[in-house]
Amino acid sequence: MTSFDPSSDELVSAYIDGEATAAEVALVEADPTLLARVAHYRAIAEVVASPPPAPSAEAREAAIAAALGASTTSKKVTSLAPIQQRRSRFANQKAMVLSAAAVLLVLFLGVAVVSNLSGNDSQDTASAGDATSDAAETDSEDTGRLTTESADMADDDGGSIAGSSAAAESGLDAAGEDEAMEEEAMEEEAEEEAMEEEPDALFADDAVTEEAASDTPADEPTASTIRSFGSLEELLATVSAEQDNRQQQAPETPAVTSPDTLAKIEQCRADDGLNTNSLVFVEAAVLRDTTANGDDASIDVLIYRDELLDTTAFIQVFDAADCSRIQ
Amino acid sequence: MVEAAQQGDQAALDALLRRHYDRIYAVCRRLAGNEADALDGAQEALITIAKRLDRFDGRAKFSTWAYRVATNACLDEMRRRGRRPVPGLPEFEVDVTPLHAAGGASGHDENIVNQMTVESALQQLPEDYRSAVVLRDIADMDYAQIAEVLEIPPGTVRSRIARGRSALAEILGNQKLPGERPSP
Repeated sequence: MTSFDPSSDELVSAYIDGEATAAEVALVEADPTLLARVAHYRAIAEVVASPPPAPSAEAREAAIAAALGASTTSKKVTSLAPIQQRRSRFANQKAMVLSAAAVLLVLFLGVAVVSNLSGNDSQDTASAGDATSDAAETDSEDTGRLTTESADMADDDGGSIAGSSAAAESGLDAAGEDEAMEEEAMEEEAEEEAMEEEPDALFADDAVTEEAASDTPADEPTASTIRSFGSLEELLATVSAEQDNRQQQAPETPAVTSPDTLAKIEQCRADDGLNTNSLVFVEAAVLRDTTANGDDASIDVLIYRDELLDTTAFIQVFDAADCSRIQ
Repeated sequence: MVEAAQQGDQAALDALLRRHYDRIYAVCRRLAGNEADALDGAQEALITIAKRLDRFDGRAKFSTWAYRVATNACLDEMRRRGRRPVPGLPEFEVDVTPLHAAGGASGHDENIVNQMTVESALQQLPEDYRSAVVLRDIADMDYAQIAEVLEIPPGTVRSRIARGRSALAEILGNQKLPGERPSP
């Protein structure tokens, strides 16, 4: 049991901390017993305030590096989502992309060869030539983009598909290809800049894109209908939707569009430590809200990992109420 | 600097963390009472600060906010490890063991109170008292700031610090402490 005297000890303690009122100060300074206690308490405060042994420089640097790493990862998770997600899709679907390129190339060459061989009707030939030129213009632009993506994947894959990519490039208009590559680079750069400014908006935008992609019929990209796609992007979006549906195993789950839900997910990610050291290689996340299903109040976060292009995905489920991880 | 760090400037964040690390470590060391827990707690505190920096709205001083994060991180770390030194003692009955009675400090070296003695004494305080005393004496915060950090009224801060110091006086056995001047 201490000899704590609530009135005098609080008075003395507040006095040495400079937190006493003028009346209290006068009271303490007029009482020798209190002044003696002041001296003792002040000495105790000084002892407590004496600096503890300093930590090692290594420990200090490790702590700071860990904190900086956590901060960097957090930003990365937010800002790189669309690009990494797209890259993951491309990596997963490279075979389909190359097949599409081959089909387009064969069709283009086939039409050109047939047109050149059938020279009986000059009017028809001229028309066919025009059509071929138009087709060549359109296809070279699309295929140029395709080649860019293929080359990108080839680079990421350590050149494993470089040969296929080079084969696909033959017969393409070089200028068109350069233009397409430049366009792609500018597009990615613009995306990165935009994400630096408004990462949340891009999350929402990305989610909407996901939703739109999921609405596309899954059986659309077949050999007989492939030419009906307006662009390579559309083709990839459709293929991606199929992939997403398989990964999600819940195609009816709506994508996140509510800012409140996005904010909540951001909070859950921070509270759960998704971006701490254990998950530094998490580079993208697709967010889906299962609360609309009505059976629970949880948030699914689909996380793409893109470490050394060993692309995998997994789902973590959080309780929407308190951010505790369900699975 | 805080604003720059919030906007993603890694150099600013690095400088900010370096500026506050020593004080945060000291707070954790006094709260935890040992180096290992203090290092883990301080690291966890820095990570939390870096991750939640965007939530700092500038209404309080950054140091106040950082110490709040650090205090919670260090206490959480201790709780996780189950090393809560003195769980829930009654408000006015701090059961203390005077160090001189326990052989901690003899009358021969009563002017020397080493780090182990201070830490040992602090660890005998209930967590509530210890936190208030440490934030006052190590972090040099005033009662209003401590109240903000611990989310308690300033009057409670005042009483907890007084009770903590009274308990420390009892633990340290009323021995003569460094810097203690004779009473007038």
